[in-house]
Amino acid sequence: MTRNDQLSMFTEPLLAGDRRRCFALVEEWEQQQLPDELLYNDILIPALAQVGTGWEENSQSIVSEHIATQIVKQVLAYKAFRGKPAARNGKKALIGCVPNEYHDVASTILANILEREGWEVYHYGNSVPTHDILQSASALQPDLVCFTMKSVGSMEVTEQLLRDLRALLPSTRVMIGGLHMPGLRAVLAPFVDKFADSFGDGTDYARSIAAQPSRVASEGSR
Amino acid sequence: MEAVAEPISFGAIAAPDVEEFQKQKEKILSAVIDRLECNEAFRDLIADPERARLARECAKIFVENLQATMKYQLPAALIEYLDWLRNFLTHRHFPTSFIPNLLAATRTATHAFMEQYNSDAIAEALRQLQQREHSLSMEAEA
Repeated sequence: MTRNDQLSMFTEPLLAGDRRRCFALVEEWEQQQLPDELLYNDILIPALAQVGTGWEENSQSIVSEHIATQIVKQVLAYKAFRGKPAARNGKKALIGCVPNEYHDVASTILANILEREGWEVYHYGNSVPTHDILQSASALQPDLVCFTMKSVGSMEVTEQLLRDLRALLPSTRVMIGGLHMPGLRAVLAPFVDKFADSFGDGTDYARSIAAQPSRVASEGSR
Repeated sequence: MEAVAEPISFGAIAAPDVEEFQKQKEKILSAVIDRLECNEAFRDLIADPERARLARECAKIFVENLQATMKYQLPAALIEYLDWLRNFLTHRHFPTSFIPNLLAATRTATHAFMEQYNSDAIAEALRQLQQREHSLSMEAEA
């Protein structure tokens, strides 16, 4: 069976909102030892993209789209629960969406991946105001902060957040995923260490941080 | 695709004018929505509560994106949004004139609420976007 066959097998019940069928497929593939990265990159994300296209083209309702998103989030929660993390690498990551960005599936996937890699992960999801993100970052002193962001509509609040974060924790590395437009990247570049083009790209960057001695001591707690 | 590929100029819009646009954003949005809702060509659209809600939401997101685009000089981001919006609205049976009218209404409202500032450069960028929409619809019909 090809990956495309698996994608079709998963997308059909996902579009129909058939949770049990989706969960059964994930369990079956887990027994067949399908690597998590393939599940995430080749099945869950493309299936959700198809659902999103269906909504854009008015063949799927907004409720169907949200049901599909919830199914995928539950699969990710299951994978997080079942995952066997590597030995702790002594590094902490704070992960979530920038303010005004509500698509948190990608940040959930990254949280799963980094936890499995041995990171101590704090994943807040979405809907957290700037002030609270900064307060948590100050308290946690993470080695890496990972944000997901998609649209220009979040630019102003994100620029301010990143500016404040850099001033508060200059040694903490900042990674952003989901931002493909060069113009948007150029605006934020002074405050960002890495723009991730894929989960693999982001994971490679996190590994490079993990291989270095910790630079974050007690910044921001002053 | 020549006309479509022409860059839209946001470079002539001065920072104080962008700041004023931001201050007047709520009034501009309210005027844009009023203008769309009073447009005889959209009577059926506005009579449908779900599509009327979408029309208002689209106007709100457009005005927000326009403001961010002007501030950061990122016309590609606004064009990407308009391309996405055109596809989204087409599948919901919006008239093809909706986006050109949204742009025209924004231009008029910007002039009205930025009296003490220069709104000409903003109006010119909106006019270029309107021209782009016109070219795209001509291409689609051809």
